[in-house]
Amino acid sequence: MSAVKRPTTKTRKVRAVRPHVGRGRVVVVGIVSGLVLAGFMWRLVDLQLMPDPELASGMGTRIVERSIRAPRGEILDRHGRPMALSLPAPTVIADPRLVPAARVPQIVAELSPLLSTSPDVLTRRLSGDGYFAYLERQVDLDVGKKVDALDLPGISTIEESRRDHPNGDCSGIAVVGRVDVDNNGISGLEEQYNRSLIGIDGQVFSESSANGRNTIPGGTRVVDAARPGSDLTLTLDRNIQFQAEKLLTDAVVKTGGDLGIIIITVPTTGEIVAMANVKRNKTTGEVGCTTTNLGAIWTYEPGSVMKPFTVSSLIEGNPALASEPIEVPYSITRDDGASGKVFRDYWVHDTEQMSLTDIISKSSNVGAILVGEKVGPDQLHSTLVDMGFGSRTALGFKGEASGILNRLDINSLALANVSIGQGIAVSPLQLISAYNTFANGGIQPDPVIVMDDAGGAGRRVLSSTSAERVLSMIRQVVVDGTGTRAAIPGYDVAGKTGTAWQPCSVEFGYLCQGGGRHYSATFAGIVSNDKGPALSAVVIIDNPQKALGPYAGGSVSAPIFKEIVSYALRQLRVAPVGDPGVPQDRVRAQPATQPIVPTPTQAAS
Amino acid sequence: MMSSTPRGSRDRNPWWLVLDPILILSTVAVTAIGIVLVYSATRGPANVMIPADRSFLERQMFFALLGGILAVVAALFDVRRLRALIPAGYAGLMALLVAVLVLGVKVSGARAWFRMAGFTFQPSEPGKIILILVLARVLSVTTITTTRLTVALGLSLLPIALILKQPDLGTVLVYLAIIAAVVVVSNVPTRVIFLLAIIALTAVVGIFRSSVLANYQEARLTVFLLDDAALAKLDPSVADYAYNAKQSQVAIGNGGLTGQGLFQGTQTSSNLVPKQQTDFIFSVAGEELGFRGAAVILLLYLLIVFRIWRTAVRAPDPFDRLLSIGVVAMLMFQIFQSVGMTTGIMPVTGIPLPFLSYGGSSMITSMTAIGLVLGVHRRRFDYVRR
Repeated sequence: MSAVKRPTTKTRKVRAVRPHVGRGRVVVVGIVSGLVLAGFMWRLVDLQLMPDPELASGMGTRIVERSIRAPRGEILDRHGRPMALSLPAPTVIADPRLVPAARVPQIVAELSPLLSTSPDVLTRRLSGDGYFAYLERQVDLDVGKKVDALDLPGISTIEESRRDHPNGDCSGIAVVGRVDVDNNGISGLEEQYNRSLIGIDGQVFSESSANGRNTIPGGTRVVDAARPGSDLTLTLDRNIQFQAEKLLTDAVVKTGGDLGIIIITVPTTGEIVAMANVKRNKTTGEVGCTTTNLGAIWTYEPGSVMKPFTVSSLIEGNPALASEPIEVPYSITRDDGASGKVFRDYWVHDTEQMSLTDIISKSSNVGAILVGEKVGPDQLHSTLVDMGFGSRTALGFKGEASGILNRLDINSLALANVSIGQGIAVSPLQLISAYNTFANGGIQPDPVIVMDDAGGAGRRVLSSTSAERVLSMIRQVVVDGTGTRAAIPGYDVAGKTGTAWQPCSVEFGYLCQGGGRHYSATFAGIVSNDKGPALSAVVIIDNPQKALGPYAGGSVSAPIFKEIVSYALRQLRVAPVGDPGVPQDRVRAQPATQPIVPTPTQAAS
Repeated sequence: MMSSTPRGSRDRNPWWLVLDPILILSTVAVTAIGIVLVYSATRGPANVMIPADRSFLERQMFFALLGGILAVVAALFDVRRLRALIPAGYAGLMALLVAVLVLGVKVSGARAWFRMAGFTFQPSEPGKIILILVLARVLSVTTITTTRLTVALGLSLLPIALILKQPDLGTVLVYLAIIAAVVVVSNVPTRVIFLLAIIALTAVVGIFRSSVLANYQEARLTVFLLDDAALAKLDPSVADYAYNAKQSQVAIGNGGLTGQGLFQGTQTSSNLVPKQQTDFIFSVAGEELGFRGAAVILLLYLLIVFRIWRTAVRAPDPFDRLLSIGVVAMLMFQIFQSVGMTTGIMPVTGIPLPFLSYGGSSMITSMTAIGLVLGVHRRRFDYVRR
């Protein structure tokens, strides 16, 4: 230390020979230099120890992100059979810049036999000056392989997937819904459950070189694996759905109807086993599947099929009164204060004493109106509200209709109309749910279509005795009333027919322009074996043409009910009454193996 | 111990006193670090398939060796005895600077390099030393007349004009820094210094206001001041100038406290910072060695500059003092500029970082400068003996 200082002292001795002016300024230069280096030190602290998150963690611009498509979940029926699944479907693309202009005609000539895109469009897309052009999206796998094998300049395929429906693109489409070309659900359950079906796309983050193409060896690489979409298991039965659509199509063709709807449910749980929608194309006259889930979205005036609700309202509200026979004339007149309307039964009869069972089984309009008047507008309205009419069901299907249920106390005509199922708009789904109340001992289960949603407690609408009474009344409909054609040998069938008028013209109301009526034929029923209710179904044919033959619920819809429900019973292996059935352990899915007649305490909980 | 040092004998002075080992060791350390960093910046994404590129490493080692030899030579010679040769050196520099405009090759837009036998040589680099020597020669007198000052400024502005023709703005700024430092430390009267400062300021403002600077030069000088939002609004061709600085800051920011490890820097191995082995070498240090390494480098620079400055303070005569101060200014400004632009607080102008950056001309020049300063340091003891 001291040795180092020594020369300094020595230099001082010769200071006189040196100019002394510069020294102070040298110090200034030194101080400036020191400050500059200190400044850099601070900058380093700033950059490295208090890093800007963007600079430190984001790794700036060199992270390249590639996405891994998550496979879309399958939509399965109640037995796990796919109703909608994604299959690989290559997409043929082009990088037009890599396509030599001179070879475009030749390339088009080679591609056009394979693709459905027209040669003109192919030529135009290949001649563009972009970097990317779709030639055709989601072609068949073997087409993709053939295109790859051609090894054309600038033409390649990329992996995509296409939604495929094993029962054809028609079956169940209104319920299952569709996906767009990018595999996003755009209708039905595909849309409603899109978020769980699509899964979460994975990502690969890798550090890449300045040109963005080469991954840096040893660089950070994060693979965020794609999480496949969850499968969605429905309560639908693929085969019953298909069969229902087939029967409906035939029936709509045969009757000349506008549309047909079948909903089959398990009445104890509300599970929808089939929801078939068939519609006639108004312009072409063709009958086929529709993408609109009419069963939930469409509403109509159901007619006599509503009479059991009028009756149940009386039974529930005044059981004593319900036991008394009612004097039923052939016709009565009710008015809305301005004009009168004559209601008649569909068969001519003298004024006679009818029990409630008679009114239901013979489907007496006048009888039902008189019952409705005994109930009173407020009570009937509240029964219908309890049954779920006028509001959407718990199914929550997109676009589901709430129907129309107006006040009934405005005049005698309103009450009379609704007593026989006119002047009220309901959806088929509401109808079958309400019928399930009778099957299920007065408890209405929420309709479900997704298996995971099943098992809800439902809500009590009627007492179990009231439900039993109504059920036995509508059983009589099938035994010797208007619905005998719905009877299925070996099973206990209860149900109600409905032949309703639909509003047809603005000027004449229910009367169509140029005469005639717009009918709708409905049958709603419940099938039980000795273990209890097994299935319930509603069959609707709208606007069957009287000129082509039968148009009434009992003659049009009841036979379809019989046929489809028989099929469903076989498919679901529901044993007939008195038959021990298939051993439990061999049944893959067996609805309603236990009769569910909950006690009031159960329902209360 | 003090008494045991023999008085008046240079030969008897201990070698560590005469040689300034602190300066030598710091220089060697920075140079060694530089060689490793240059290797890291140029080896490429070395793996089993692609062997590491060692050509830059080998060349840089050769340059360091050559520079070391030149430093020793410069330290041994008494430059004052070669004063007569300074005009010749100046003439040679001018000839080279003119020649490079005709025969030179263009690199990164500047015609500043000669290419021969696989090596490139940038005459403006050793020109810095010539400039320092010229200025020291002209200004190391007790009274500096206006004429003398004018001659000094004129002599130094001539090469500047030629370098501007290349155009190499960065080197010009180094020249200007050298001139400013030497003039300030010389015996030029204080009022003249203030006058010159005012003139210089006016000139800077004037240059920015006028169209002397090419648009790209002006954009390069100002773009570092802008934030991301402002950059987004810029013309892409201008915004590109921010890319380099941005990538460099990302690299340094990546380093954190401890760095990503030697040869592990991802910005570095992916060559995302352009010119990372030369002007932006500090970003490699920042990323791979982290704050610790970068701070050590800055401290070594501080040590080097301090030792040279100390030599200047204790220099036995005005020439030696001005020479040392010239070297301080040269190194200091280059560090200031190069580290400043890699850390985003200075505009991007191509200036190598002394001892660290790849490049023969720069290495030889910096080493020679250190050699000259070591000579000054050594001569201090001659005076003592006298």
